[in-house]
Amino acid sequence: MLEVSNIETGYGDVQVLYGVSLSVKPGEVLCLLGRNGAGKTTLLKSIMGLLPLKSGSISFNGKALHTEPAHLIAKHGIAYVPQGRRLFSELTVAQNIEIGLMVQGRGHQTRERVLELFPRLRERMKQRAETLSGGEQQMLAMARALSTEPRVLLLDEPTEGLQPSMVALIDEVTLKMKNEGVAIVLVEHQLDTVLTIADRVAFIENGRNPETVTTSDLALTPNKVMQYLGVS
Amino acid sequence: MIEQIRTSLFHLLLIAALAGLYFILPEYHSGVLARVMVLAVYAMGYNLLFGYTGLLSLGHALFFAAGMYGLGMAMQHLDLSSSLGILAGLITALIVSAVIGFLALRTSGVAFMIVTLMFAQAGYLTILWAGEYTRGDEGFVIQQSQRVLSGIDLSDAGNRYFAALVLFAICLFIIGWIVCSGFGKTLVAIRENEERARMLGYNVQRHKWLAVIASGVISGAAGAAYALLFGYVGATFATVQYSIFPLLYVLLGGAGTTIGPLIGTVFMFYLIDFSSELTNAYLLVAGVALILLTLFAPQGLAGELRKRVMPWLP
Repeated sequence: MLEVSNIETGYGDVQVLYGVSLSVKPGEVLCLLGRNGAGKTTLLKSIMGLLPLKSGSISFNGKALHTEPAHLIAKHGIAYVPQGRRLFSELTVAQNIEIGLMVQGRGHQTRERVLELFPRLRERMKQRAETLSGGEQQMLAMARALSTEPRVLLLDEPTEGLQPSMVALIDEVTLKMKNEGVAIVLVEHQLDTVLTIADRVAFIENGRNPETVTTSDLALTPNKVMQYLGVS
Repeated sequence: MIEQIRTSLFHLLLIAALAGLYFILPEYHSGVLARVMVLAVYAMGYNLLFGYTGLLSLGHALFFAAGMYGLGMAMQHLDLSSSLGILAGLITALIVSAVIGFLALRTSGVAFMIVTLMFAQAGYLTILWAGEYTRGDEGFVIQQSQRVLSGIDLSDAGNRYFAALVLFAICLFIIGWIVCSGFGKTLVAIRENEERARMLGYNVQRHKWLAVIASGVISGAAGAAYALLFGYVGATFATVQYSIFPLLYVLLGGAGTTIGPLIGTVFMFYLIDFSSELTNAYLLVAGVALILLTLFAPQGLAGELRKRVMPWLP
């Protein structure tokens, strides 16, 4: 289980998170919901060790992560698909996946499994990543992350700016991962998606986590969405 | 695997062509080519760091000079044989690049350029300061009688050509192997997106440090070979100019390609050779040619070749 307890962090002197706590279990999707600038991405970055904590702790299965250097956090089985994808743009699709496979020493089997999730990539293996469409790039970013066979997956707005069919595909893969027992932290603004795939929703507001509710509770109290996002 | 075989075959063909050229080319040109091959090795070392890892150093002359003085001083003052001299050159380059890499990699981007430039300047000034041993600006000659490797007289033009070719071939295969290996691919990933590579779980800092060392040792090998083959060790080779040369060769030839450094070195050498025959203002001609190349072949000659006709080029 991934546990974030009471963390405070930010960029230099600018503090962004004030005592945020949350946890996510294997096979569970936790959605972070909040306005732009609330601190959702900062939270994911601090889990990945990109930002030093001022206080609080992050642990995975009882092992402290916040004391580890960034590159070792991924080795614990935590994968991060950042917003805006960030591929190795000059490398081919095959090479991008290979870089993901190599780091944990995964082989052919993992590669096939990942390509089964995204058959479109199989047709594009020799193409440079920068020449892919937006949707394909998102698939590749996820495929690269899944090549490490993660136990925790952090997804930052994976469906942002994609056409509906692509959104459905990404959601489908997210659900598959959940069913395979991966713990997923998802930043998502599409409420339909949140209601269909998330188990719980953690609201983030001004760097704090005022409440975390189950998705079924959220469906019964739509005014919460109004309260935290300003939309109904 | 196929990639590795194709790369090796391509490199073998290139080496065979270079060997054949010796018998075709007039003496002047084969002499030039011997020098070009050694400098191309220097550029290949530079390319590993700049072209593949994305780190722009302005202080590689320090590594070239480390190899050169490592060999030169060992042969001059300790009376070591050529082969032990080469070893001394390589070890010196290894130590210097490991230390400089460790320190300079605490910075990145422009700061890395400045820090490497400063270290190289410090190295150059140290050579001048220790003039009693290094003979400062004037440098020293390695006697013809000493320039013998396994019974082969390296002052002979033919032997020198093939010795340069052997060094070039070894380094080309090492680079080809590195580029196709997981390590090489990781370096490219770091060049493309350092933070992403770290997020995937790669120890970026360690990879960059190893890249500086590999790059420094190959550059040092070129420096040692230059001293041994051409018989002269001098502080000129530690100046800023010699840090800029490999950058130019690599940019012109094609950064991030295995043959780019050779193409760039040949091109630069003959460009200056040719233009200095035309006019005293030969740098003007060279400058115009460089501007044209930057405009129309921004990825360098081999880079354009890869982009347009040979996408498999390693």
